Amino acid sequence: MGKGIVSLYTILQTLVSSIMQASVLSLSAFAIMLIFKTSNTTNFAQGMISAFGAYVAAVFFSDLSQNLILSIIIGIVAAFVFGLLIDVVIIRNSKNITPVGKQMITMGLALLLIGLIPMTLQKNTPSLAVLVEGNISFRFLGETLVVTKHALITFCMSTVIIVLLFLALKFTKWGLSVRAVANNEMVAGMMGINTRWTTAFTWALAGGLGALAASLYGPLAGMATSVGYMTPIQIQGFMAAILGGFSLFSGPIVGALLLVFVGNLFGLGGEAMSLYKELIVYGIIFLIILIKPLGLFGKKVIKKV
Amino acid sequence: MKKTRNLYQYIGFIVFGVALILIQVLSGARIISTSVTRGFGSYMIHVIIVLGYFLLLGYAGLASLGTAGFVGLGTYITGYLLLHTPLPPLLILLITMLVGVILGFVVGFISLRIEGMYLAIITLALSEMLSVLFKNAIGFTGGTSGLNTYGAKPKLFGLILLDRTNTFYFIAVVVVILLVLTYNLTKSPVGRAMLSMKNSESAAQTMGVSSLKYRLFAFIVSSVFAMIAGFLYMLYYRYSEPTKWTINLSLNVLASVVIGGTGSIWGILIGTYFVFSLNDTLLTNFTFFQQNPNAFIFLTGTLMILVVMFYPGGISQLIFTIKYKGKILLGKLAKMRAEKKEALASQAAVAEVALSPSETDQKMKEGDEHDGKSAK
Repeated sequence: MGKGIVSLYTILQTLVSSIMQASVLSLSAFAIMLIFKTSNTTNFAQGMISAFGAYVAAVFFSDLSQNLILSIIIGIVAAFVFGLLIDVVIIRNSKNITPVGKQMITMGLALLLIGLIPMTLQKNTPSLAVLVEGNISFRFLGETLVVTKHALITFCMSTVIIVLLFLALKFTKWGLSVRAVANNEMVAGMMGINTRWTTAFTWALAGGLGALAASLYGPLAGMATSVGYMTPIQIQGFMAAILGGFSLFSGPIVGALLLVFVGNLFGLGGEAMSLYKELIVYGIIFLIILIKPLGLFGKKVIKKV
Repeated sequence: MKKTRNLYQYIGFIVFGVALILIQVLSGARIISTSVTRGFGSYMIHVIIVLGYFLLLGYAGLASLGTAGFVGLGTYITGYLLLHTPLPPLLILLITMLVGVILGFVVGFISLRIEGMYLAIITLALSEMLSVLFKNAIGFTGGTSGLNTYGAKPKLFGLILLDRTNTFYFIAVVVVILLVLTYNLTKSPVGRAMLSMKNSESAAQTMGVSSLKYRLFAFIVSSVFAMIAGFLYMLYYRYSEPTKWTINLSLNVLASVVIGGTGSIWGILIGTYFVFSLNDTLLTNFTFFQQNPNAFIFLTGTLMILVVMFYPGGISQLIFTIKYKGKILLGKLAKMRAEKKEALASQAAVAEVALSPSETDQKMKEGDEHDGKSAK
């Protein structure tokens, strides 16, 4: 219907403009997935932990040093340690709590951070800057497309990180232990895998990935004023994970890409479509779940009672 | 026995309602400050939301994060109808409740396809969808600048003007009615069936509890309660904007049920007070909490984690423990008192030996009999 009106240029430009959102969302969705696999819970504090890392970076950037890269690295390390602490202090000690109970713990954690960050880190409304100012234009399929340098760097960086993580999951000893814990924690423990530190490390890694995403997204999303700026990303991350299914590690990432690119293409279909594109996309995801409750790539695990 | 216990509960709820009404009366007499009264107005509205959520989480074991969206929708429907139609408030209430039934039915139906843990995500997304609607459907909701009904003059039964004061009384009455309803529901076969479903769905289904029926029921009740709260919110505050209906509200509602515990309604009432009104009515007197309005959210989150980890019964459990320990203590005290009396009596008897030997014999006999009785 809309395709006749919308030109090739608009479609391509929309896709190119979406890469920032797609990279941030992919990183977040992957972090959510890692924790889901090892701790069997959906981490509702993911957005706030990411924001915590970004605010540490922002405070460092505006108060102490003007070195952006160094600040972001410090923020990532802070979130990494914070994630580790969450597992060691809280999650490790709640082994016997139901998955829904663990979910509630992460919700409590989200509340804790929503209260804590404005009191401490966000007091002087710190913010981060974009990596590099300016745009890049390039020709593709005979059309000249424009993208910000910041978005392009973010996209390349997150692609490299995600590819590296997949390789690590497939080929390293750590990856093997994560997959083993994801499959069956008890058996993995019996086979001599240190399940405690495997889980703790995934929490730390999820925190670090989130902080990277939040630091890169922060300057565009108004992190100086709104503490919860990562919450919409987190919700989209959940929806992406549900769309792709929690069975495969790649599920949430495919879900994230679909959600962003297809969603933004829907936005081209007129004013109403662009206002309500989230409504439409989520509605479609609901329908998909009604037909396939485990997501697009979900596999049913048969439980013996 | 059971009947009297129910009666005590009802009397308790009515006393609670009267106490709330008294707050507004005292405020009218300028004994309680307006801001504290407002705090209790907001408390009552949140009690209604939390009661619905209590049935959903505490009895059916379903963790939803869609509450905020539902309450928001309730406010907007009420506001729109108040502004654009001459309908009486009670009819508007009925319409919002009807929307609540439909919404609860839809969510409940979706929830049947989804395992427990994903439910929170789905309901959160639903709330997010409603929030998109609140921001963009400007003709209906006023967009980001919000919707106000300052111009409307709703009258209850066409007689009583629902200004702030009268609305406060109206809300108090509704709260008492809903408290009694919720209490009865939890003690009814329906409540028991939901509780069994929470503990083990497979076992409940084996015993003939229909999962479909009770899940739908729990969702419908909770969303109707949320809608009623939205309706009352719009009457009381006369203003609604999208930033009010975010995930923070849903998380706080969850926190009040978790902290309050699912054991008793009184625990829930205290939990709601702690989460939603302690800050407005009490802590604003301290400079630290004035300067850091978010400090309280931090406390709520910390307490919620601690409760889930170490004391899953919450405040209800605490009340129960205190009651139980108190009973034991009272029993001990009574025993001690009886022993003391006996000791005094025997002392008196010994003292009387010197006076009159014949009487003492009798006393000794009585004492023996008494000992024999207590030994039995």
